[in-house]
Amino acid sequence: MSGKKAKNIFVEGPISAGFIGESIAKHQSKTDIGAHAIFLGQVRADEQGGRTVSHIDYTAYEEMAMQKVHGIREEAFAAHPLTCMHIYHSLGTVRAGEISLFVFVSSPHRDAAFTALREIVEMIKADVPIWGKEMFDESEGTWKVNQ
Amino acid sequence: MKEKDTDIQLVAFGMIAELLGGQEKQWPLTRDTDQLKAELIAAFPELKDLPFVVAVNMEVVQNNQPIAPGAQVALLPPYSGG
Repeated sequence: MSGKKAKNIFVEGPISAGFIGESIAKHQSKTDIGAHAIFLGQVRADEQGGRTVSHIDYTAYEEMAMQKVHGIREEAFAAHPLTCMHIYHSLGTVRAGEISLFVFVSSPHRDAAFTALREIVEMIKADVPIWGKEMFDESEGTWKVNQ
Repeated sequence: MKEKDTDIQLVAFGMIAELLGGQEKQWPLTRDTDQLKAELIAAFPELKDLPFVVAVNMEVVQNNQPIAPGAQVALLPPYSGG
């Protein structure tokens, strides 16, 4: 790991549309950017055995997760001409229809932004120690597994 | 006996934390990760059927790895972030 302190990516509860909007607005001063690509992960109301998921409870091995995200950042910046990158993930309760993952990459041109975004989201799913337990209002939950 | 120097700090997540009855546990120092897994399965037989990997000081162990006193050993079920 490099000497730089890993940035905190965690947000308590859902990521609001306002927060996402403000993040976009903050980039108006960065006029070398020509393309933003954004991924938003939203909690699905999956059906399981006649029950419907009402919310997901997220927990994380926070220190390791931040280290992993730091590594993903360095890898993405090394591989693509990105201007900036922001990653946020929820902890705690996120209800169906709310946002739990926000990945935001910016680049002078769209190719790098689209490609990097896809790669970053896949790496987050595979390598970052975060767990979601799908909950049902009326009964006990089950642990999700990434596909 | 001083706890901190001779024990392993065990941290567990997801369904493993539920099985162990908490996210953090002190565990007596064991030689390596294979021995730790055997001890854990002896104490919590249901662990045998759960998929998980072990990380020592936040590095996922590929095969078997020695454990130093005071190491942080994490039990990580399949990730499901996003």
